[in-house]
Amino acid sequence: MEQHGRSSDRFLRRASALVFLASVALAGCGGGGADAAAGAPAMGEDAGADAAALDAAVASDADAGAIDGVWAVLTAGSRVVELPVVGQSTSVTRTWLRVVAAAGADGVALSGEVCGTDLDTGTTLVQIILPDAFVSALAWAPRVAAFDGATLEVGEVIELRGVALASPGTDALPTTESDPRAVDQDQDGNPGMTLRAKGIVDGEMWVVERDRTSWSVTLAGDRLDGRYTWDAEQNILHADNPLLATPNPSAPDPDASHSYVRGTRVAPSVDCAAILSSRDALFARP
Amino acid sequence: MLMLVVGSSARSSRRGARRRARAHLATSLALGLVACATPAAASPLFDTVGGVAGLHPLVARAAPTGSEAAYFDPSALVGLAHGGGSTQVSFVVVGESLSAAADPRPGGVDVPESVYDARAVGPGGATSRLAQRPLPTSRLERPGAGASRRARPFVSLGIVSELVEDRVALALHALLPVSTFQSQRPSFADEREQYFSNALRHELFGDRFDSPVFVLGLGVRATSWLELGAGVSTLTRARVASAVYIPDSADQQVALTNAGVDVSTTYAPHASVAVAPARGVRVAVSAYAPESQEVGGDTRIKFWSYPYPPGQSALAQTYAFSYGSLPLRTALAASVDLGRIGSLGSLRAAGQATFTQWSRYVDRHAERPVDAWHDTLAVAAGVDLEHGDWRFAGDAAWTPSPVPAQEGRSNYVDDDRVGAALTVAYRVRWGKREVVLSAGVTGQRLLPRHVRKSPGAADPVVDEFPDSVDATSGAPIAASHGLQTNNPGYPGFSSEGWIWSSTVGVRTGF
Repeated sequence: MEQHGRSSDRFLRRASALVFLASVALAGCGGGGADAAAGAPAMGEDAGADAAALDAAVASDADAGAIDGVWAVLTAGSRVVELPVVGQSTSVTRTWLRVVAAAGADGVALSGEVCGTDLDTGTTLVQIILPDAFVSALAWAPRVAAFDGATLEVGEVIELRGVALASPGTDALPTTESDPRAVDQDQDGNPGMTLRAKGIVDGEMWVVERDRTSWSVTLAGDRLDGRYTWDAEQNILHADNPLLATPNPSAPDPDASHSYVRGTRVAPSVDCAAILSSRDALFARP
Repeated sequence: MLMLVVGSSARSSRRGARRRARAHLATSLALGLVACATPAAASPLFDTVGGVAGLHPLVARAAPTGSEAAYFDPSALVGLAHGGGSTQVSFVVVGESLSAAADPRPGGVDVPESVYDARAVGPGGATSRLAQRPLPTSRLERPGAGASRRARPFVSLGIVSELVEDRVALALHALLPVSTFQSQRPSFADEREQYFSNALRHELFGDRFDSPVFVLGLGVRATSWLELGAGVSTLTRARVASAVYIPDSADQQVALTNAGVDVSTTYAPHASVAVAPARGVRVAVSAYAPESQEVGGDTRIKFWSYPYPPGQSALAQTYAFSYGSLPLRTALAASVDLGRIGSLGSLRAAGQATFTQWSRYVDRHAERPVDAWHDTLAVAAGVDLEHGDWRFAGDAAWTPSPVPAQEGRSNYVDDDRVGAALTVAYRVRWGKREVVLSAGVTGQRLLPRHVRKSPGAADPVVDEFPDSVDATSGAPIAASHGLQTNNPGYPGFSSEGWIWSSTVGVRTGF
């Protein structure tokens, strides 16, 4: 029985690795996705910010109706992974942003920073670690949105992680760690960006990613809500656990409601730490 | 019927003896067939506690008195069967009271919870997965200590049958557990046991006693001064083939299993040769082939929608265990009739030396100890006094441990043993038959022993949590500095115990 249990465990690791692989490979860090920012509260910590903090964080009604200002933004991207053994699995990447919107002649300029990100792999057996160095290396690309007074449209933005391409939208991603286009963006001494797994499957991967994201959100008072479109490519340059070396095919979640953008206007003084500590309240929707 | 000396020549009716012998041969063969068809064990029980059904449990190779000679010295069977033979039934209780306790653990050696978030740091600063997968010490089953206190009841059955008067005799000796018929309890003798019992345990006892023993022996008297004997202990070999289907790998509690088990019988041979260089003197040499009960198996696991490697339709895992392993043993034994001592009666002395090639020992996981065990020479001596219908016997034995000081990674627990036995037998006549009632006790003290782990050992305790950093922050994990281990025997351990037996029995001549 003991041997049988060990065998099952071994398989479980493999199966879970597949779950993990698919999740990681497809989650990316869209929209400048990153792990929880260094020094920021961990996911779930301080969930449900106290009322006072929230009052201080949310901007006054005097700003309502205008897009200009500082926004706490949550993007959630869902993808469906077709996994051997376990079948379909859904992974969701959530990214918390602090975005500054400024209307101009060409549209609304959006700039911002990544406050944190997490990845729900759809299983409790494997967790994904985005090291602090990974998060620190992330930047959220500025973009310009079209705004008609009610709807904010952010066209497709291509963002690269751990790789420098002459033609970011069309060049193939590197597949080997020796490819000179793979860059040590997180400055950990290894090409690409380093992701780690813990749980019944553990290990480290060096990856390169290309994310394509777009938004279409509607302004309603101090809230922005709408659709989030995300596609991602990821190549694994190296993995120190063979079970992590092969990504699995995936596709955007056919249920579009699982991928969304939620924004809440906040006071200019609100920083990423405050956004993370108040995130449950900031992004709660009826 | 205490025919103990080569050349004893009491006469009886040859015709009657032959008739009885045939009947007893049939009985023996029937019992032998039963023995062959029954799961049986190697004979570590005999080799450890001795011939508990006889007059000299600890000197049974030098002075067998009944069917136990089938194992201890089959060359003596002709002498023991003189007059037709005998049957014996005994009730035996074999007990153990063993303890092994680890020394208090020093600070800083526990594996912390942060091991789950760790990446080992290599010489160049590069990180890697942990080579060892220790559990956090706080999650271990229990502290590294083990104790066993058990008493096992057995019924001992034996038949000695004369096939050819004064020439050939056959015997069957069986020791049948009354409660647990057979058990096999593997464990690891190093840090791997942290995943299971996390306990220390004596290596050569415990489940090695939890098996029936069947031995067949054949004795031949070639001349008045030369006897030959051979026998076999029945063993089992099992093969387990399990086919497992897991429909949902995310739910490992649901599995469809077909487990097939094949058990076959094998035999471990032994032989002995005895000479009578002088009247009343018997010298015997015996040898026993290595033996063990092998259990092997493979599990083939299938999953729903799994991309098996080319040519495979399932994932396979094999395993092997070896229970009751006994290496080659040879023994030199001798007995001398000292004649009458005044009015006390007739006195006999016996002694034996048993060499065991423990350096070839294979443990329950079919692994050979990295720190090779020592071959040993165990010695025992005894005397018995026949006073009228009474017979009194006393034995003493010294059995050194084959296990070297466990200063390194392994924790084979074993101690030197000093033992003694006292037996009394009373002969009564029931009609034309002689009936011998006997009772005896043995005790073996496992001498206290303490071992301490040494970093200089050839195969030292493993640092299961090398210097590491946190996988998320990259910060060093202070609790990983230095040695961390869940080895149940770290930093050392003490062991001691008792092995004892008590026997009451009856033997009757044909």
